[in-house]
Amino acid sequence: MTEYGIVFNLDSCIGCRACQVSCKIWNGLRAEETSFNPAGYTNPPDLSPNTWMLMVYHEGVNGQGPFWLFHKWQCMHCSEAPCAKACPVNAIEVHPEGPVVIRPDKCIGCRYCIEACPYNVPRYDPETNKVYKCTMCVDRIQNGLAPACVEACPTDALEFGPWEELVRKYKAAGFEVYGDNVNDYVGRTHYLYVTRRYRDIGSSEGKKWNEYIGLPSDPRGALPPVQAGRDVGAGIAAAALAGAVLHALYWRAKRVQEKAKGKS
Amino acid sequence: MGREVKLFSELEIWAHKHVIHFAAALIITGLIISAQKLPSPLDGVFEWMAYALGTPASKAAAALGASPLEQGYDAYSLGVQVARIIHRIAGVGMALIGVVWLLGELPRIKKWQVWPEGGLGEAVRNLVRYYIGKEKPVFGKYNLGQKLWILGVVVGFTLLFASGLIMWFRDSFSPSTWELAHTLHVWLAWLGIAGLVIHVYLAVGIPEHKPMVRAMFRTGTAPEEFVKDHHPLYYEKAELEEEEH
Repeated sequence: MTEYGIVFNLDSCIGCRACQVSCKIWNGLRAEETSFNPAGYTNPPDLSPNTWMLMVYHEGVNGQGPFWLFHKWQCMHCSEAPCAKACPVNAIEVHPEGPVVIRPDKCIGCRYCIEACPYNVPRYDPETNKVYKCTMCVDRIQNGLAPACVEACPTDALEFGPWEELVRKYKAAGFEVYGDNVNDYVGRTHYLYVTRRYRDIGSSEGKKWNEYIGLPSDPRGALPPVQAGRDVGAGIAAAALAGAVLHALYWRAKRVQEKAKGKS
Repeated sequence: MGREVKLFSELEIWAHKHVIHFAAALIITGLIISAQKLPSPLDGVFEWMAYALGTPASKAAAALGASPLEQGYDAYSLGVQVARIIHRIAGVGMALIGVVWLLGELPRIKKWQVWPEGGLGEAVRNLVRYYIGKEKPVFGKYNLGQKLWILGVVVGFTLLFASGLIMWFRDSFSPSTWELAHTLHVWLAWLGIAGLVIHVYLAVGIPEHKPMVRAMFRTGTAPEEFVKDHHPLYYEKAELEEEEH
C-alpha cells in the first residue's frame, strides 16, 4: 500500500483559488455567502463545515520589504493524528494511504477532535451535529485519481505522489520541507509545504518560514492531559481495586491470627 | 436487642440511596461514552452496552419514520448518543439530590465535626492503627478517611458538574475553557471511581462493618456496642446529648 503525500509549493502558488473551488465541487459543498474581509483577501474568512480548505493570503511589509504570500490551509493528515486518538467513538480513520478521514456515520459531534487538533482545522456544524474537514480526497485516491485540488492547480504548485519520493525529491532539489518530521504530537504530515524562495522570509523577525505562514514548528493540542487522565485514571482505579483485594486478604489473615491467639 | 444509637436521618438514607443509583448511571454511561478508549478488557465490557442502547434506539427511530442513516448514525454511535443524554440528565439529577441533601444538613451545621477530634496527626495514626494494626479504633462519628471521602465527593462532584455543564454548553465558553473542563472531568471521574471502589470495599468487604451497612440502608441506627467499639468518641457525644435532654 503506497503512502501518498501532497506537496504545496509556496514558490509556485499564484493564489488563484482553483483548489478551493475544485474542493467545493468534488465534495458537493455549498457556497457560502461572504462579504469583504477587512483582514485581507482570504475568503471565506475561516474554515467551516462547508469550507474544507482555504487559500490564505498573507500580505505586509517586513525587514526585507513587502511580501505577498499564499498558503493552502486544510487538514494536514498527520501520521499520529491526534484527532483520531481523541475521538471516543473512533469515527476518525487514519488510512494507510495517508488520509485522515472523519466518518460522518460515526461522528457524534462531541468535538474532542477540535480540542486535539494543533492546526485548528476541524469544524462543527450544529445543524447536523457533526464535524467536517478535508478528506484528502480519499475517495479519489482509492480509485487511482489524484485529489481534486491537485488536479485543478494550474501552476503545479500542488504535487501528488508517493510520500517518501516527494520528500526525497524536494529535499534533493534544495527545498526547505515542512511536514517530513514535525514532532511527536502529530508525527509527520501528509501535506508537505516546501519553499526555496521564501526560506528566509521570517529571518528579520527571528521566525522560521513555516511559522510565517501559520504552520507551528512544534504543534501541540489539548489531547495529552485528557489522554493522561484516561490512561492514568484507569490505572488509579485498578490500583484501588488491587488495594482493596490485598487489604481484604490482609484483614482476613489478621482475623485468623487473632482467633489463633485466643482473642475474638 | 440492646439499645440502638441514631446515626443517620431519613433524609441521609434517602439521599445516599438516590446518589448510588445516579452515580451508577453516571459511571456506566460515562464508561460507555469512552468505551473505545478504555484499556482492554474494559473496552469490551462497555462497547456492547453502546450497541445495547443503540440498536433498539435505531429500530425505534426507524419505526418513527427516520432511519439511522437519515439521522446519520451507525448503531454504536447512536448508542453513545443515548448514553450522553442519560449521562447529562443523571448529572443534573445528582446535582439536585446534592442540593437537597446539603439543605437538609445545613440546619445542623453546629454539630458538623469537619476537623478530626484530636487533630490531623492523631487522626492519621488512628486510621493506621485500625486498618493496618486492627487495634481498637478511636474514631468520632467519621474517621479521617470517611471525612476525606465526604469532602472529596462534595468538591469532586461539584467540579464534575461544573465541567460537565461547560462541555454541554461549550459554545458559551472559549476553547481553552472547554479543554480545561474536559481534562478536569476525565481526571475527577476516574479518581471518583477509584474512591468509590475503596468506599464500597470498606463498607461491604469488611464483615465487622455490617452494622454500619444496616444503619446506612435500613434503620439509620446501629447497636450501642458497635458504636462504643468502633466510634467511641461519637458514643460519648451521643451519651452527653442524651443527658442534656
